Amino acid sequence: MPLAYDPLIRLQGVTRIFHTEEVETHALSRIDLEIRAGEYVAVCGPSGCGKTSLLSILGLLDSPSEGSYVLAGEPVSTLSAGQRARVRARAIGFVFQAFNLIGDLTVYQNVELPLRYRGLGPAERRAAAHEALERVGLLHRLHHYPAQLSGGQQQRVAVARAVAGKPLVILADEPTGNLDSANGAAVMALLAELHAGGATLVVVTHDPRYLREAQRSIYLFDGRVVPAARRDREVA
Amino acid sequence: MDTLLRDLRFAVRQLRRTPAFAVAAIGCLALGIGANTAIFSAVDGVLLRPLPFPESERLVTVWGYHASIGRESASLPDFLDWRRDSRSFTGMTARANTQFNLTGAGEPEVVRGALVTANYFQVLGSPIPLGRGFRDDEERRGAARVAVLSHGFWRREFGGSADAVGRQIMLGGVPYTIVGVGARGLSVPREVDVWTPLTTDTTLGRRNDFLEVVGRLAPGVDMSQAREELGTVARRLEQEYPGSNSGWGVDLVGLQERIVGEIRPALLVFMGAVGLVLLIACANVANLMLARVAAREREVTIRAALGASRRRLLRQLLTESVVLSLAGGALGLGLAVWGVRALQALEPGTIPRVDEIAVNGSALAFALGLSVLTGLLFGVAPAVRLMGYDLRGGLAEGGRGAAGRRSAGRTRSLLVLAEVALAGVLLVGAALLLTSFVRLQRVDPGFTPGGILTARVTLPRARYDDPARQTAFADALLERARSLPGVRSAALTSDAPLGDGPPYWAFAVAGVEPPPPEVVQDAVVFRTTPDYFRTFAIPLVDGRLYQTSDRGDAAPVALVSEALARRYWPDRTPLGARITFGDPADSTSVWMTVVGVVGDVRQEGPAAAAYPQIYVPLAQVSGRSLLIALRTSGDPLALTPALKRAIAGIDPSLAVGRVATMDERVAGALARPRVNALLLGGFAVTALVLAALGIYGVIAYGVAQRTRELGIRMALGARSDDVLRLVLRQGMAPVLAGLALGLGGAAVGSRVLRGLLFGVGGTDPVTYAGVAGFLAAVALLASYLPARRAALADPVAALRND
Repeated sequence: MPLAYDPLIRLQGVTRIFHTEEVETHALSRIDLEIRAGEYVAVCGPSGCGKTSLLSILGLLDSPSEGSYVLAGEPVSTLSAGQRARVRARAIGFVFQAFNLIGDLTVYQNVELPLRYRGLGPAERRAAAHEALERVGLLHRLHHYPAQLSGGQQQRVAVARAVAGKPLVILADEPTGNLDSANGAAVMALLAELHAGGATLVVVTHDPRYLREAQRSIYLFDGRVVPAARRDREVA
Repeated sequence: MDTLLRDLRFAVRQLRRTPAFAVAAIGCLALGIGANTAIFSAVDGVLLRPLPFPESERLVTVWGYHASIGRESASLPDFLDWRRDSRSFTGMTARANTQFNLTGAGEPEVVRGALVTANYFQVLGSPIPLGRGFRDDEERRGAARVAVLSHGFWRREFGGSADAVGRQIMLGGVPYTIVGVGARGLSVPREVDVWTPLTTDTTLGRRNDFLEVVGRLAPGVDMSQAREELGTVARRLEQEYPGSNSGWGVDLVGLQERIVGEIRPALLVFMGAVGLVLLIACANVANLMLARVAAREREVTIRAALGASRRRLLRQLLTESVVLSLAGGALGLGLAVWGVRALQALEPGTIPRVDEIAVNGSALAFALGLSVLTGLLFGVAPAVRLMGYDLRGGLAEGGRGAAGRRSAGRTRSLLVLAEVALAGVLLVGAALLLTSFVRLQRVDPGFTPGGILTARVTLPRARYDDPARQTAFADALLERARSLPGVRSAALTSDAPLGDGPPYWAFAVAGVEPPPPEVVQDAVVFRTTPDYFRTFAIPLVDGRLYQTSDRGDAAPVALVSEALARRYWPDRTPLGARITFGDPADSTSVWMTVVGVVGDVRQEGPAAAAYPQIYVPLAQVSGRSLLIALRTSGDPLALTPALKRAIAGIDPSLAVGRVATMDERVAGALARPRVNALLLGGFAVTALVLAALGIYGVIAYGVAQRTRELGIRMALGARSDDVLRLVLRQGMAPVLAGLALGLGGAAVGSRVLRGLLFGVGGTDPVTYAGVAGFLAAVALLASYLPARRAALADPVAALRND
């Protein structure tokens, strides 16, 4: 994992406003945030506080309405949709709450899909996908379809897909939300293992057990990052 | 019953709740069922319904048959012998078509006439509702002149008054007593205004073939037995009259087949075409139903959980399908009525019995049956899907984290494949007919039709039997016609190209051994004035044209066409050769010297090759039926009143008939291929639009179903181009497979079009490539619109989609 950029992610004054039928909604307001390479950051907050909006901007699925976003030294807040897609393919790995595997593709095909979009050749894709699946313990399920796997297995495939391209950062949105506690713990252990190996992780979670595993927690409320003292008040 | 009513009520309620779906599905079905019902009505009215005569299947037409020319009309002596010597018929009648100048009631008028034997109405089995038919003695020379009017003519000219019987009408300047009025629908195979008796005790040559013969088979006798018996009679005639009857046999064709046989292939092709349109409509509706079933899976799951059996669910679904198709059928019936009226209004006289086409009880039964069948047909795919649906999986599915289901799109892809294949077959057929029509239009007929007006004048025998009077009339008419303003040249002729069928005359060449009896040596013969060639712009190739000095008292001359010159004088000039239409062994036969060669003319239309032709001066071989042709510098039809005044100025009792421009005659010759191309083209366009809508619907639905999957792909780094390519590739795969299947099917199916094509093969590669490219482009466009929408989707919103 490259450590040359410090911080790896820098958000300054990031605001995201949605306009719907003359109503202006501030999903994020003047967010300043830095994440260092190799850091494990947990994002938490009540429902509707802007967690997913923040993750979408960090993952370049969305652009801020105001403010700047620098990823690995490169300003990315004003990139076009095509340029964002290219950066996403190279630098971001996603793990979703609903696994979001593609039902028509096999386990192997799901894992190698982002590598295709990155433009890697067949041999490279094969090696990287095999390595990722071996890491999550599902190499023996290469040719299965998602519907043939349990929920826990599907999320492990999703993790393999996220790490196969060795992205700069892995963004996980409630990765245990659809799992029972045993499978949830197994997935979080897997993410912790990845972090131990040097991966940069940003995990949205509600579960206090997993908040504690993170090196740092960011609490969002009404689209703003809330300082620790105020957070305690809000929670109380 | 109660359950069925409940199902029906629920089906109607469901359709009301989804009006867009209902409108789309009913619209598709109405198009398909409407087109099928309209064409079925045409097939029923023209091909299937018996002629309006009792036991009409026993009516047959009898023809002379010669190996080298095929079927031919009969001569009077042959007909009389057939009638006398055969036992296979309860009666045999003959008719000859003619025209009469009707005078005595305002402006002279040309009416369509038929000379018929006295038993004509009895043989057809059509009693005369008012008055009587003809008596046997009225066939004899010198008998009282009597006439039977057609029902239409009677209504038109006498206002349907019963007093008409017994009154007189002037036909050709001669009074005829009206003795009866024929039944409605008696005018087959062609419209007739007046029937008069055919004189049968007259001396006519055995190869003067001008009679259409109809016989009624005796009970228990079939056509092959009658053919065999008449064959025996014909062989006896060959022995008795070897000079005229050698090589001549007899052939029989059913009367209905004779009338509708030519249109049958085209009507059956249309029936097939609308069948394909209906299948495409079914595929579209099946796709819509599949989407609807998918959207109702939860409802189905709940019903199943509450105890509904699969059979019960299946019946509910099929009830909905049939309700839809009945609604489509009802609307389609309206479309069919409109379509039949449009067909009757626009049809240029190429479909026999067109007035008998109606959306009647048979069509209603057909539409109802088709609607039910259609409902079951397009209901099958969703039903199969429902039968294979894992209800437990359905309940559990909400918790699954995979986007897209492998089997969901397969059925829809198969339906798209089928739609494209069917549309491909139709498009190839339409393109082949269109190419044929274009090539027919480009054929050089051998003359320049633009700017020519033609009209027919028939000189009555009573006053113009003398050739000198005929020639005097012709000279006077030409002189007046040439002086009309805007006339560049004027000619008289016995016939013109693209008429009712040119006259074929046998001829002999001096010094050349006559052909054996089994070979008929004949040519199309026109009697014309010298300016005929200038008027029609037919080029002189060799020698000279005949001149005004080539009159009755001068040496007989003739012109031959290039085709005739090539056939009989392939390696030398025909100039100076002598030909005769008489018996070369007869010293009284008139021999004509060939003085020129002119260009070939396609007398029977662009599809028929130019037949060898001989032209002789009207001044040397005169006649009473004249066609005047005027080449004009302006609108030819504008000259009609002046031409009629010019003719009336010579003889006010003469009627001018069949006024038409040569452009109209050319259009008439191309009418059937044009109608074929237009109808099949219309069905093909309908099929194309339905298929394009089907492809669009399937891709759009697929994209909507895959919104989350596409969002995931974008999250994983897919660019807009990647998404666009993915959707297009998956959308076009069944299209390309369908295209291959459709073109293969068209290659096989084009065999049925063979008789309708001209200048293009059934597997013409250019046509197939053009259709493939066009259909692929339409499919690409239909796929591109939803694919582009998918490519431009917001990945965040797509990921949020559930």
